[in-house]
Amino acid sequence: MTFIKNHFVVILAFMLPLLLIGGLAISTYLPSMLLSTEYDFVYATCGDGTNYYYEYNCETYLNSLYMVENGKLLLRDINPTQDSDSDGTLDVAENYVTRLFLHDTKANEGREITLQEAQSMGLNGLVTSPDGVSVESAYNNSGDFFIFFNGSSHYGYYLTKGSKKSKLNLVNDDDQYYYRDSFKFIGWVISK
Amino acid sequence: MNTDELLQELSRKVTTGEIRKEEIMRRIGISPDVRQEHEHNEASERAHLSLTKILYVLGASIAILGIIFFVAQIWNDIGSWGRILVTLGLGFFIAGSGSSLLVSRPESHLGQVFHVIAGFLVPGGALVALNELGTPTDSLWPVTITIGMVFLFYLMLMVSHKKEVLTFFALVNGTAFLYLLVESILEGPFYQHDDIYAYLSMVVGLSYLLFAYAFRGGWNKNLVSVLNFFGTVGFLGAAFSRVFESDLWELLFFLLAIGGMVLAVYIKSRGMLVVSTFFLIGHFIYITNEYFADSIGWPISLVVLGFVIIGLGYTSITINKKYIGSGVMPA
Repeated sequence: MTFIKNHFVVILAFMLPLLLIGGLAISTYLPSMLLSTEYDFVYATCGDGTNYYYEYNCETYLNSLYMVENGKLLLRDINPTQDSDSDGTLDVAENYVTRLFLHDTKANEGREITLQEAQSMGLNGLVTSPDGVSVESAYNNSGDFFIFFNGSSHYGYYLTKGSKKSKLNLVNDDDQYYYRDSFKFIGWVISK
Repeated sequence: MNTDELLQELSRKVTTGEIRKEEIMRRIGISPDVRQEHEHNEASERAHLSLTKILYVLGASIAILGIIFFVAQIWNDIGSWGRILVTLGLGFFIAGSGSSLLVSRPESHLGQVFHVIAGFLVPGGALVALNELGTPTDSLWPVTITIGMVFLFYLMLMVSHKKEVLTFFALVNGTAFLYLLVESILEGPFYQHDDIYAYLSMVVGLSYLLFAYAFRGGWNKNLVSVLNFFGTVGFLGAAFSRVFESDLWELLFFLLAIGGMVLAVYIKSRGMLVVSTFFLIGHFIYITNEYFADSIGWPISLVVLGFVIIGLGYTSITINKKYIGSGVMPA
């Protein structure tokens, strides 16, 4: 008690910035901790077959390939004349490799699933789950602060509900070449 | 006749030449020769100390430059561990030598000079080590934690040795740690959170002023003026950045800048007075440009602004002479 009394000004000088940062941390982390949904979701990614570098323009290909109809995932035929990235090579000849993942929203982790497994699930193709949570992308370049650490910018994916936001740990999303166009949200899992 | 009246009478008689200063000194037993000799010795000692300090500063600067050039020359040839060794390793070695000198030769300033050199090498070396060890670059947390550890290192050295050079480096690393911590917590690039950084800078500035207040008369007293200056710059600078955002801040900033001038008188800080005056002048220029330049025109605005600046300058100089300059030791 005497120590606090004798060094009150120094303690106050230390505490002021820490209180501000504490408040900031609570306002940043608490909403995401409170955000949860009862539903898992299925998503698809698209790459060039090397399983490392994702393609820039796979979104059109993924949109053409997958659709949810009557609560089930359907695989459609690709138009043989389609060239979604306009690079002169038709989509059917691009050797795109698509993968499907089931994301467990409770554990915030995903695992790859087969097409058959995905097709056996009851899905809701809306971006917003029945309990009001959505999947959104957001631009992120938080590594650009310091001269030693100027990491490349990339898109991150989040669960959102109003102002609450929680980052999703998607498979391979630490790869800085993970572009928004290589991801497609398929649907919320209503029944497995 | 009380003491004040007696001294005033004496002063008047000395001014008019009725009594000579030498006569007074002779009567109260002070020999002018002895006094002059004492002053001469003090001045000589001060000059000697200043010269020593200048040589220390010069030597430390040359040593730092030498280290930078030497390391730059061999940088690409020494490999990762070599780079860590010549930055972080050398920094710890010099800091250890500095601490040893502070203990064995506390009367000399050599230990502090060694710590100045180490103060540049240790944080820089820690970041080099982080880079060389291949830490992922997509997150700022490793940098934040590293600088936080350097801050703790200097905090412990400061508590152990009680030297202001160590307090200085603890403050610098602590400040860097706070900004890095905020950037790590927040998502998105730093320029999207200018408001949060403004409030953080205000709080850091306030903390500096509190440290300056706590350090008065202690072993950190030489840092008081530096902390008052940077504390005021941080606080008012960050507050001024908010002025562009809202009308309330436009009004509030007048109170903050004037408050700074009043506080400068209270704590006898010339640095705070100068900074507060400059910010008040800056705010007058901003307000004139924002609200009066279009209505009364720039020529008349400039005339009014000129007189406002003269008035503020005169007020500041008067306050300095009357309340700060006459003080024992203005900070």
